[in-house]
Amino acid sequence: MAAATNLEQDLASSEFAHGVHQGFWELVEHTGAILFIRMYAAEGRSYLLSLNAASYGEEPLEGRFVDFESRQVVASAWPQGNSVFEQWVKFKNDFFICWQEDRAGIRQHPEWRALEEWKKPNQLVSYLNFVRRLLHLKSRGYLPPPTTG
Amino acid sequence: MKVHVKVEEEEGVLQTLEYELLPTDSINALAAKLAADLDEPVADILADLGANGSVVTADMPALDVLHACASLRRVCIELHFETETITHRFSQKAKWERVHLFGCKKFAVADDACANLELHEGTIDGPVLNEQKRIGPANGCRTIWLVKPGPEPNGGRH
Repeated sequence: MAAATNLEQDLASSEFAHGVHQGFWELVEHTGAILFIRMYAAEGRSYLLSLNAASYGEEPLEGRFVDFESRQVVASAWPQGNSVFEQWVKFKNDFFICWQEDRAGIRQHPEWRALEEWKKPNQLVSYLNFVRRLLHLKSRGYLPPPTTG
Repeated sequence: MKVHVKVEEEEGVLQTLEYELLPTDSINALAAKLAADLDEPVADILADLGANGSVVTADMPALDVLHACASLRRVCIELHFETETITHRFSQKAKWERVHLFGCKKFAVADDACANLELHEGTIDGPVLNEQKRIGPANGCRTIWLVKPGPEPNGGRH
């Protein structure tokens, strides 16, 4: 119950609202512990980020990019980039986010769990800011798909 | 023919620039003079000179676009980077990306380091700005920080 309350508080926070107002992200759907957030990249394309927020606050979020229609994890739903980008975003085979505040990343690197890096004042916005930087900072290696036509 | 170009902020007119134009002078030629006088890119000046939402192309006769006067709307930005500060007026129509690139140039930030910086509003820890959005109007001078975000550990290659 407390976890759900904390998630609601963070969704209602000024920090989350700022990201919406700036055009970095928007909440598409919230069902139980699952959030679907549209993330906007610098060139305007958007990606649908699915976040598993079970035991929010106590456990890290788990993020995966999914297809807008089917909500399935498919290759075409994932942002792509160079080798720098690929250190965080595993978009080729395994489809997970390798980061200290992500549950799947911690499964790959159990030594990260003890650091409890996900325990931030606003866990949700911390995660979304991480993804925002991946899609907006040139140094993070995101490569927009080629435009057609 | 004399053309007067007013450079304005929300609080009023900052300066009025005067140029003598021939009927054959293009808007690009005027924009180049303005760009030199205001230390801004020609493209930003051309975007500002577009009237009533119409598109201004560089080869249009300046007098057809402006008639006798024009105004450039500016907003004051006080940009901070580490221990340095610079104040500059940008076009309200410019994107925040312009402020980022201006800062890297003025503070002598290397290209690879520049690509790793982001703009924060108000304080070094303030909310991040989307650099694809336009600056827009403001009363007074906006305080903006050019900030290097912290490192993001990852697992490397799997």
